[in-house]
Amino acid sequence: MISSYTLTVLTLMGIWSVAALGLNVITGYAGQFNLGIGVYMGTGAYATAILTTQAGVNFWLALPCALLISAAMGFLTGLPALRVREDALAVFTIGLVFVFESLLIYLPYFGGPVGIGRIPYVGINGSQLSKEGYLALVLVALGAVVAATIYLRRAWMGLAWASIRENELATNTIGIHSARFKLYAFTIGATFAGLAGVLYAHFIHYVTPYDFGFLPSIYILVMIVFGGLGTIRGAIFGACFLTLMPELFRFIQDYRNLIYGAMLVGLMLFEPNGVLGDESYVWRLILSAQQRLNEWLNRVSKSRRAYSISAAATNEIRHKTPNSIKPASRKILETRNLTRRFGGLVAVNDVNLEVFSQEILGIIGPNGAGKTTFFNLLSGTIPCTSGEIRLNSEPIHRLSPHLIAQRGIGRTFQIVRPFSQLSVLDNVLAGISARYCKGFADSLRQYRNSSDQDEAHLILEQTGLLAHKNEVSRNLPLGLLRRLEIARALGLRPNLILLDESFSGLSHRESQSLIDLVRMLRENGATIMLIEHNMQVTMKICDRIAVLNYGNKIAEGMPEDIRNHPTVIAAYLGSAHHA
Amino acid sequence: MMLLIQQLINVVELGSIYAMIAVGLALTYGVLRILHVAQAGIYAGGGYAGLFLYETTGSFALALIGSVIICGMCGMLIERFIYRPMLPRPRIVALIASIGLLICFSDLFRIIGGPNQLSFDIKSLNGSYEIGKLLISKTDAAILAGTVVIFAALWFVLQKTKLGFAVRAAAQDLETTQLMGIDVSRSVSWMFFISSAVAAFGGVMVGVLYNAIYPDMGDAIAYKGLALIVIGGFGSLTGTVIASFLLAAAEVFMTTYTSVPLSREAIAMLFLVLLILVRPQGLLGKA
Repeated sequence: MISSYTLTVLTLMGIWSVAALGLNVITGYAGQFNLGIGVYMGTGAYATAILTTQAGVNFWLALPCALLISAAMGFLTGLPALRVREDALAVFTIGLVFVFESLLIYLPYFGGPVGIGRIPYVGINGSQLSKEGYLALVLVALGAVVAATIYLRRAWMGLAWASIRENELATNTIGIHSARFKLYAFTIGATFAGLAGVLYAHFIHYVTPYDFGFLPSIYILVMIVFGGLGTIRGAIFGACFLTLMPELFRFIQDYRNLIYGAMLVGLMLFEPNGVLGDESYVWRLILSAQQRLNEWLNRVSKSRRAYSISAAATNEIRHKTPNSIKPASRKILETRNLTRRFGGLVAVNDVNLEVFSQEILGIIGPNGAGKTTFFNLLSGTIPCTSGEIRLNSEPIHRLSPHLIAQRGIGRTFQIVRPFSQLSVLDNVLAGISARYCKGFADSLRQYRNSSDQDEAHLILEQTGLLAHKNEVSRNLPLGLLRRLEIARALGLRPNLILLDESFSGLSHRESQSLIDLVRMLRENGATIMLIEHNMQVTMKICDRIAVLNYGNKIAEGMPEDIRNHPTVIAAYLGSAHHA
Repeated sequence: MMLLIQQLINVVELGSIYAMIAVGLALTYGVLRILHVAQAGIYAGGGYAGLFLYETTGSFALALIGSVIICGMCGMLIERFIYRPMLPRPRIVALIASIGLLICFSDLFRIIGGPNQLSFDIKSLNGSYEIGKLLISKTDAAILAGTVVIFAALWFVLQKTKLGFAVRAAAQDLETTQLMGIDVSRSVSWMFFISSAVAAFGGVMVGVLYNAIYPDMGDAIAYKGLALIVIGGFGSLTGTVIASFLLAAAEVFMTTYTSVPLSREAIAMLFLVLLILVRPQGLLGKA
């Protein structure tokens, strides 16, 4: 027989675990700082409290209602998060939790500072649930939340969250609407936290505004960082340990907070990944033990086969890529009077340019000529001041980056922006994910073991990254990162690929093989625009070259024409007449 | 009329106190991108140290200077041994450590000074000055004078000395500043000294103003300080100071002239939430 005290502690551990898993979705997976998770827990708790005490609703009806209300709260408070980023968001959520607490105290419906009491026991078939029964209920809820979290992490949505966490700008340029997925994270996280609130209310039987204020919110954040941010085991371990700790340290009651604070500081100094985080000491020990066990098992029962793409799949995917369907020399992109001003500076001035399918078009020009700004306009990461951009004769210059990407413009960045913590394979899968991330239901589909794996492997093979597919991308050298960005962009099946100085900083051999890759992409049907400073490379691979200087297009033509163009020579070397 | 003037004095006092905390937070954030919540602990520590020194020496000036120096050095130690090793880590690491420190500080003060309010009564500041019909308490006068001195000193250090120049440069771009041959880690160290010293000064002032020192006196003001640096536009010192006085005005006038049933903290946070909705980059921040 378990004592009543033990049951209470166990139940609280379960409830806090559910809340921690809610915050884990928002902060751990989607990377959005939230220091006000108490708002959602409190919403769930107060919703069920009011429904069951004042409206006389049964728990089993109040539960889904409370979850819906929490989800709505998550959605509403997530809206500003679309405009506010990082630290400002963190402080904003602090603001929210104080306003929330204050509203609970001062609005007449919530029972003021003393809150709402006499929240009924949970009953099943008219009989009241025992303490053991309630613990079982909490564990069922925890199990459901864990299952849902695992499911989400393995779905396209989870991959989109990871992409946003790693690099929001790059996420938009691979066709994922990052704002929408941040909102999903807030809504889902809030629902989990709301569930924790409901369970809390029916366990303690009264709720006060202070139960869900700033400090409880911070405690939940501490739980997930303590255990290991972005992991399920970490959230649960953190929640359980920090619930248990005050009980364990009862004998030093007086110094409890001091020790708690010192422990946090020490942990952050010596194990910033959290006790069970992905790169923590303990977890690496567990992983290496697991690996040794696997090796032993493999020796016993023959090794598993390496991943291989079936010939049929290869054919099917090749067929899907936009090659050879369209006749060459069709105009696919056109800019008309495209202009971008930054205050008084005209970075891109009245540029008219046409791009034809399956060509390799080089954009060159001295530093500060507006080349990268031009690419940013094409990919929509900054809006144009005037003029227009047409892709296949449709105007795209008013579209957001993710929509432009979805229409088939992929890009790389001058300063690489890989999803650093993700494996090479997952980076490419993230590139593929855009087609599943247009709607909510589609984004819930699982991305592992699907036919998209074949496509990702094919892209990795094309780009020569297959051997590195399981490496964490932040460990790759620059040459491979540049390839990785191209591979990620290929996931879109783009018609047009924008390469922003992909050759800079590469060794001779690396650029040779990148040249081969670019040519192969063109053979497969893609059109390529590239910004390049290396004239040898530009002259070698470009079919045509456009030259920008001070935002103006000063020349356009075949490489040999550009080489001898007087205005271009003047722009690069200074005019001979003034020398 | 009298009420209005008294209110204005309150606004200036409250605004200066907010600014004393928030300027340090803005400096720290500007250079290291750390949300330095533990600043609140330094601020309360300033109050405790000031009270202790006043009771042992009997001199308010000595207490003030001593407290400022002790807390400044505390700030330097925190930077050197806690924040510096965490800089390459994700920023949530330093934030959590800072929260841990704040918890440590308040508990330490509770253990040393007891959980209750301690009185900080400066005998020489009892009474008031009479200027015409106007009655200004000596405490108010001393705080206003102190505020002017501390902000003048801060302005001088930041704008007119090499150290200030280095700190402002580091706030723009830490790496480039380093490449220009400036010893950034030394500048950062001194910056922590300055921002902690100013916070301690604020702690002593508030202790005297309300005649009370207590363990978690810094908490509410720390959260408000964070809100202020967001409202001011992250890293903008001028914006932060303006925001401090605006917030003080909002609090003082809303609690006296309207019957908004919200606590002061909630007013501040409502102010923050509304402003972020309208202007996410803050008052003087760049989009």
